[in-house]
Amino acid sequence: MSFAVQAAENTERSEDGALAARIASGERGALEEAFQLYGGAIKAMASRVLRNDTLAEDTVQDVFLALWNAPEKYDPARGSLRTFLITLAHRRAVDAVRSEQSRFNREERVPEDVPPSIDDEVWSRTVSESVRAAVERLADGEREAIELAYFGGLTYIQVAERLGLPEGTVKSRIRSGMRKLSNTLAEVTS
Amino acid sequence: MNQDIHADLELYAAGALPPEEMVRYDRHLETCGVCAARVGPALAAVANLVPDTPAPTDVWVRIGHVLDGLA
Repeated sequence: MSFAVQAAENTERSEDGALAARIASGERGALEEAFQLYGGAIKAMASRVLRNDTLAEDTVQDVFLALWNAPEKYDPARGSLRTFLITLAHRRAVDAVRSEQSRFNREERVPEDVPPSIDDEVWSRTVSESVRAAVERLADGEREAIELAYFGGLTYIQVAERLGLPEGTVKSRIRSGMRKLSNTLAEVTS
Repeated sequence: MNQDIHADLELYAAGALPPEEMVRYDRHLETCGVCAARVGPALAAVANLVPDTPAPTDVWVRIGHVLDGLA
């Protein structure tokens, strides 16, 4: 990673920590700053998993209220605030997908894949572009398994059933694909 | 148990584990800095697959109403 990118990441972590501290002190404006910075990405994540705009907005609301109520759960030493919030949103969206009601809503209301919006096509960060390029370089089987799990909300067992493959094969593909993505991120950011 | 955890950290990051396993990992990661450090890059990698888009203003209005109610 270039000095400029490293400096930008360090600055981001520092700013994230300061933002979380302001939220912890009860500064509502700080929560709004976090929302303006990361609310769009969180909705993009929830929309991709839930395929339902209303449920996605509910997830965004839940995530920011969770941050407001327990800001101490974010540890800047473990990663960026963006990653923390997206991880939280992913867990909540997947939980919703796995509930019977959400499954019904998904099948009944939105039977087709929601096409990506114009915004979804925008990748503003060098890191995101690198990771996306890494995804494109994955073997088809690795990419498919990771996307079904991460954006489809499926367990590796369900992915195996969907693809008609042994569970061990799916686990191997997810492991190897994720390692490649992690290594790409490490190369970009080190 | 830790060997199991190490073996499946990538599956945890990809959200591919069954719910009860995710909970087990969550508990472990709260106290294990080694595993947390290992899973961090994987979580960051998949988080970077999600694009930045404009924040939905109407949702912020809804959040504001909730915060007003809490005040």
